[in-house]
Amino acid sequence: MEAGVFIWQPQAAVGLLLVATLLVWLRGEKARGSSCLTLFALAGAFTILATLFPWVGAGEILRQTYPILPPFGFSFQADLLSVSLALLFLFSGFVIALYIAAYPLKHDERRFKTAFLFIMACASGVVLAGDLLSLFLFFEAMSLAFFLLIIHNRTREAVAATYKFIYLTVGGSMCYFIALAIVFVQANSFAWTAGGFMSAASLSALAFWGFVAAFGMKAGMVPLHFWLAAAYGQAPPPAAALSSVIMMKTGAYGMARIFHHVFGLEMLSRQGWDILILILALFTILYGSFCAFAERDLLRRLAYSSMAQLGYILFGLALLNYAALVGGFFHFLAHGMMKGTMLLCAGAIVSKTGKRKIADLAGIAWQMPLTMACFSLAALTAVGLPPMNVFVVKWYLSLGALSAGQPLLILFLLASSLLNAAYYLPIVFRAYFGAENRDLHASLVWDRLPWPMTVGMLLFAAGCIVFSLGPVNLPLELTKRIATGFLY
Amino acid sequence: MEYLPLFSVTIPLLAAGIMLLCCRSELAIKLLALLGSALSFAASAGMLPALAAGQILGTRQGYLSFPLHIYFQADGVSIFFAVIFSFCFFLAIIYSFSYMRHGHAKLRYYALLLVAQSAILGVVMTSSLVGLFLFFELLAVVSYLLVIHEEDAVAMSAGAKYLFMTIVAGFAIFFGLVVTYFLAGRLDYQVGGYVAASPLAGAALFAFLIGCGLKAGMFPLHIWLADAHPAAPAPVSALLSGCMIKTGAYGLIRVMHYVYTPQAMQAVSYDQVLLWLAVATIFLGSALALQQDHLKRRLAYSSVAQIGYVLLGIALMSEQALQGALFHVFSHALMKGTLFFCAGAIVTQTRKQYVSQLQGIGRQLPVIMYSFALAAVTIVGIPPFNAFFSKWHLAAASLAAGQGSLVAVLVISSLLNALYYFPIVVNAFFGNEAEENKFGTDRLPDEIPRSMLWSTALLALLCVLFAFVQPHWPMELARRIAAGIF
Repeated sequence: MEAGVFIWQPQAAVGLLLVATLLVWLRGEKARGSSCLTLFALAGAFTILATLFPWVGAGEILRQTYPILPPFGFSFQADLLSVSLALLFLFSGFVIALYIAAYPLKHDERRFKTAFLFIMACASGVVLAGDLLSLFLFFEAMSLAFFLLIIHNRTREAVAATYKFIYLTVGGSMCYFIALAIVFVQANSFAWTAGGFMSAASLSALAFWGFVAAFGMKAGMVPLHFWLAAAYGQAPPPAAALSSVIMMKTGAYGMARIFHHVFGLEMLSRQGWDILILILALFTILYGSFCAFAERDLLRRLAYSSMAQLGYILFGLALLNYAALVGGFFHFLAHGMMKGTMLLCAGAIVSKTGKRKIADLAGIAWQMPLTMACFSLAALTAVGLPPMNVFVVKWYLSLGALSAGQPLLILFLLASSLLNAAYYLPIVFRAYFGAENRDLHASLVWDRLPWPMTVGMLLFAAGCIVFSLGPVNLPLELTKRIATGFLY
Repeated sequence: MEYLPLFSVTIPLLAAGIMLLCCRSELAIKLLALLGSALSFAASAGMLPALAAGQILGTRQGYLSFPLHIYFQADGVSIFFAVIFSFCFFLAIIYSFSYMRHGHAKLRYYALLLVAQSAILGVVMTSSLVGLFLFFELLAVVSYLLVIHEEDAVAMSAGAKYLFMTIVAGFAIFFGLVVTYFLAGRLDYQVGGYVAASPLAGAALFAFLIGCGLKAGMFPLHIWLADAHPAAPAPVSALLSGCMIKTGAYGLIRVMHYVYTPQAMQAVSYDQVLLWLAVATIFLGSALALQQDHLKRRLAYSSVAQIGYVLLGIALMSEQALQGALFHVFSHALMKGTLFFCAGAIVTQTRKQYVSQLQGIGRQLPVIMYSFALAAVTIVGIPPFNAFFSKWHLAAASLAAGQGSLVAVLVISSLLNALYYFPIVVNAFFGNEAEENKFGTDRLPDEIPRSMLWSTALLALLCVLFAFVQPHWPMELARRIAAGIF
């Protein structure tokens, strides 16, 4: 495909998802039909985008601009990062949609499923958008739609969590808006440009931190993480999975874009912004890990853990070298699979037994063996044991820290891993072993979950380990090419 | 031949998988465990000719990508360790048949033993530090599950302590690995090493010291050992003490002789640090063993002291010292295996766990206590028993290195060994039984299940048998390996 040739895939994929959203809304409460529709739409969008692979795989950057929204234009861009991420999102979304199809939502299924599919469409739009403004549109729509999922249970706490989330989101949009205005005045352009297009001027720092605030809020970066634990604690677990696996990643993706394609690494390091981001990332990692350690509610613990894990991605982005970038980008996949498994398992446990407190989970493995097997695998992954995905991430992040001449940063990663072990492994121990559980061995029953939920958990759990088992780690090779494309 | 390293690792894993998937009868579980373990031992033993001939076995086929490949390969050191390890596992599985007769969760137990055998062979059978690390971590998780097998409060807390400490050890090794890879771009083994001296290299060396030292039970990182070893079922204790702590020593040998150059180590006086830690480990282990009344705790602290010998031999950095260290790995595996087997037999037959209860036990369990006596004599280092040879070489190497005081360390430690083992033996045969134990005197030796008796006796015999065979094969092999390194 030559440059300038009309590409239709990104628009078609996002459009398909939006049309499907509308159809799901119109179908009303016919649960099975709308689930099928959701799954077909996601699979269709996945297929459409996969056809772009031959071109973006060869390193081409395909753009398509529409002259709407004057004077700025509206554009899509398909490069290796955006297509890979969109495919990852659509696959994860498919798994979560499968899970939701059988998840007992109890009420307002139509609203939940419509909002879910709408968020999927917007998340794909965020990564496929070709400039700051198009991204803003999708990003805002996605963020605001998420409140429908948080408030799903309509309890007083859910409403409070929703308000927290909405205020932070709106605050983030304000920051983004100011930043956008500054960028337009200074550069008169929004489109991604290799090496960045902003030059150092009086207000460019404000623009940079405006973007960082908007994306950092989404990624749960300290100090904009307040909404996370409250939202995860109140939203139905599949919505939390959607947030962890897909929505928080769009924040990290936005960071990568503004670092590399708006401001440029040269400016970042000259202004010392990378150091500040690195410090924030380290705070996020440690603060998230400690809060997760202190938390007693399973879903809130997972929320804080997500925050810490997103800190890994920010850490990889902030070090500005090749190995760290590989680690950071690979963590999109690694964390998605790992936390996706955990949140789906948590959802299975909550929906089946109603237990949310970690102290209540003793012996649960003898009631839900498959669920806890998946959870245990994900827990070991989170600790960073080889050959699972997170080990690869830690390996590259550590190499990146060494390349940056900062070997001591590895200790932060190891401290976080140790905390991961300290807050995940006891859940696993108590679920399986202990004097009080010995009598349960005989009464082992299988999970008795609907099959789509089981399949969803198993798919994510397999994703934690399967890529390392072959002699070639395909996603890793892809990540390396993305990082090469970003840096050279 | 080239596939033997791969087979020795994968066969037990495969057997464990089949067992978990389809075995439901106890007989089938036992048979499969025996078969998997025996085949793996046979594969390891089949590599001995290659060791004697100085060959390196292995294919250049890479497995896994996380992100580095691992290769299965066996050189002299690997084969030496692998034969000892797989033999001990084989005997432990036989011993377990009777030990676990009334135990719970047998399927899990035997499957985990097989996976542990696979992991421990993987540690020695891979050709780079990456493989070593992968199997270290697998071994850590599996041994945790074996330690907590009884699932009582004691075992759970000991297991948690063990797991968290080994995870920290794993992180230390991870740090060392990343730094090594960053400095050299490779992690495979090459005699003489390839990482030159630099500040980062020094940091990585100490990270490896923490990681491997913790796994080996080196002072001051031994604190998990005295809890975990007694809490585990006796065959597992025997394996933990006899085999698993040796993997730490193996890791140190690889790091010091195959990855880092002598200059890199001299730059941070690595061998001196290790030497003094080894001396501290020997004294501390013996001193603490002396105070324990719980038999298995006494044995566990004795293991700390004995691993100190191995570390001492590694730290002296000479051919003879390394030969002594390698041979001590062999002799300690056999004698500590025997002692833990005996302790397990005593517990299953009489429910006695404390040294002070063992008055006159030799009259109830003669074969077991003869074995215990044989192993005790060995561990003290009386000729012609195995440990005498290791101590002899260590002492000779110390003198050659001009460190005469180390001979005193060895002698004092032997004395301490005698102090905490001989009273058990003497009391067992000559002590007066306490009143409440009298009812047990009419037990006959054949009441002990046969598999337990035979495996213990065989292990005890091996403590001395090789002294009467010429040439002394284990010593000869240790000498060749040491000669190959220096």
